[in-house]
Amino acid sequence: MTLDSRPDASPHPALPEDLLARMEKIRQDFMTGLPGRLALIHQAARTLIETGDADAYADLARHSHSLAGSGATFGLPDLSGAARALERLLNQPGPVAPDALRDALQGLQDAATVAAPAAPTTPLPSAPDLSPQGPLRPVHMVRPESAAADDLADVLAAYGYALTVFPDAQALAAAAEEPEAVILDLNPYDLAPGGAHMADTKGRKIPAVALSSSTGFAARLAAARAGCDAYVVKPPDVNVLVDHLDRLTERDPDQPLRIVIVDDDATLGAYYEMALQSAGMRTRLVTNPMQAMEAIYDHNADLVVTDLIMPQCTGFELAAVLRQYDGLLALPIVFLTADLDAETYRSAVRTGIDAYMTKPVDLGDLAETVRARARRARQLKALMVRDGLTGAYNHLMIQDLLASEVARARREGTALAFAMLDIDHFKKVNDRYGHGAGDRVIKGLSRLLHQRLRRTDMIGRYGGEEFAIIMPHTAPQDAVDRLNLLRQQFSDIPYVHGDTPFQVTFSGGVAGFQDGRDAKALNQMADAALYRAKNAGRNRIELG
Amino acid sequence: MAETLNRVLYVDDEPDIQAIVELSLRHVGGLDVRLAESGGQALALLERAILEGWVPQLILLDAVMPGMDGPATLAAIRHHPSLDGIPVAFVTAMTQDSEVAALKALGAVGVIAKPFDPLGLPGNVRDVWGATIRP
Repeated sequence: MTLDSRPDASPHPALPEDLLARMEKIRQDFMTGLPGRLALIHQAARTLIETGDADAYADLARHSHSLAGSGATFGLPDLSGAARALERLLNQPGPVAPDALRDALQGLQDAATVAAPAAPTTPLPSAPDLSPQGPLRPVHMVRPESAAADDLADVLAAYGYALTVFPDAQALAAAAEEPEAVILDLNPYDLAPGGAHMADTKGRKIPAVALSSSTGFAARLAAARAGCDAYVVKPPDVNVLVDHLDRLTERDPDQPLRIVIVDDDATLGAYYEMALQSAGMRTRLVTNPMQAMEAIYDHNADLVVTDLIMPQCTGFELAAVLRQYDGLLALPIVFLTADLDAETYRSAVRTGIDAYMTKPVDLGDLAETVRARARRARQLKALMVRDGLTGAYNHLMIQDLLASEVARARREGTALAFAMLDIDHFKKVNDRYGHGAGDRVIKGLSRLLHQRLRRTDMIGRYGGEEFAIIMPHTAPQDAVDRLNLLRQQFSDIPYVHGDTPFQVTFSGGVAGFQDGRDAKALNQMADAALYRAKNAGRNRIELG
Repeated sequence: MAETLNRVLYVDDEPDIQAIVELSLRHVGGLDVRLAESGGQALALLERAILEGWVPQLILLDAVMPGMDGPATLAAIRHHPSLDGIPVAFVTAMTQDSEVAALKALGAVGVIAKPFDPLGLPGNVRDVWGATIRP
């Protein structure tokens, strides 16, 4: 096609009056809201100057960015320009100079030239309570002495990291203490390929985070080539930096990759376990493939490593069985094999394997292969909008939807209920009837929720046997009533394992939206109510 | 028969900008526009809309949003079995060359600058979309 062929490519004729009027109305709404926005900006700036608070910084950056984008659209190009200047100031490396910040704010105020009275300022949420747990974990940073100082060390201490700053790489290498991670506040282009590779006394790579004011792809590439594991743009958003440090040092107990190893040779299996454990993974060894399924569910495995030739069944047969379970369709499987002939290779491809390694297995290679595949599988899982087993929304989606529904309820003054459900004694179902039965129960509850709730309700799976439900335009008591109905219906559903019929119940906690409650508060209230329901004997719904 | 641009999804957390884009694309540009105010809402809306037979020809994302931001939403779209093929462009105040390059490196077909002229926006959107279907 050619672009000329489009029907309405010509400059638009005179716009109808009502359209212009509606545009003007939107512009006026924007102008009406402007003093309130400016007040928020001033408040965030004050907090930033007084406390250096990262939330205030993020608020300020977001507000200035958004004004830079919207001002000129609504006929205030100067406002866009002033907001852009403020944004640039915030994006400069190092801490923001209070004087420069005040000047930029004054510029913004002047550009706004708003006649409307200033709206009352809304208090900003206070900074989160950051209490470090356990001893501080050492993190080393290379930062040239010429670079502007900031309070990064104080901030990181609040998150449990002890930051030591070195002026150059030589000083870093000479440090007596071994860090759990390093931060390189250097120009990524100055790093040689592999230049960020450092090993601890056990020979493991020390994770490296690049800290740079460049936002471009080329700088990121240079950092990746140097061996940096993460890249954070300056001035660093502390939440992002801490997320990376937590992930790279695997601080979060959920973070270590969980691997199940299936090998009939216990000695060899223990040898693989050791290699993976020393690379920071949690392992479970089974010497009988018949027990693999149990171990995979029990250990909540991210990946399975299996020997190919075993007395009870082959690795291929094991893989074929695993793939019969809905919950395991995406589980990566790595095969270890002594002989890689063409026929074995073809069978491997047919079974849908993710990787194979030939024996004798290099332990370093094993750890790398397993880590890369398991991590990739986790990342993919996180990118999937829906949970593979139930079709419910994943955790991230339901959180995002809750935040926008809360915003809508606040804006439109409508009711909103949020509920968390948890299947009672789910572990007993798994232990008694097997994980296939457990999967059926989870799917059963999900199906009931999808069938019996309204199309406008949103259903998410929080992982495991826990579900979250967003019910727009619903008062909390109505949500409790509706969920109680579902609770009775669910407890009446007969499940069968072999010849044994069994029934399952769930408990729930409900929170209702009120002004002043955000998504996080609703989560906490629903969670607390669920906890009460469990403590009060289960199979009940509690209102938070 | 030449294909023309009709169906567009616009995602932005700012109600004012959302309203002006809706007016601009719907009434000035004559496009069939649907709106979402977050990445999560966009994905939920897309899944429903596709079942109803409404498949957008272009998705426009604000880059900076709370929660799932533009890049995270783009990644989720690219990994979604039913949404993968739909072109995505950013509408953003991140307009430095390096920022634009980074957004395009994520797989965006184009970057439209904020602030924009409401009367010119439909033309910009058609240009971005036209570039994706030109042989």
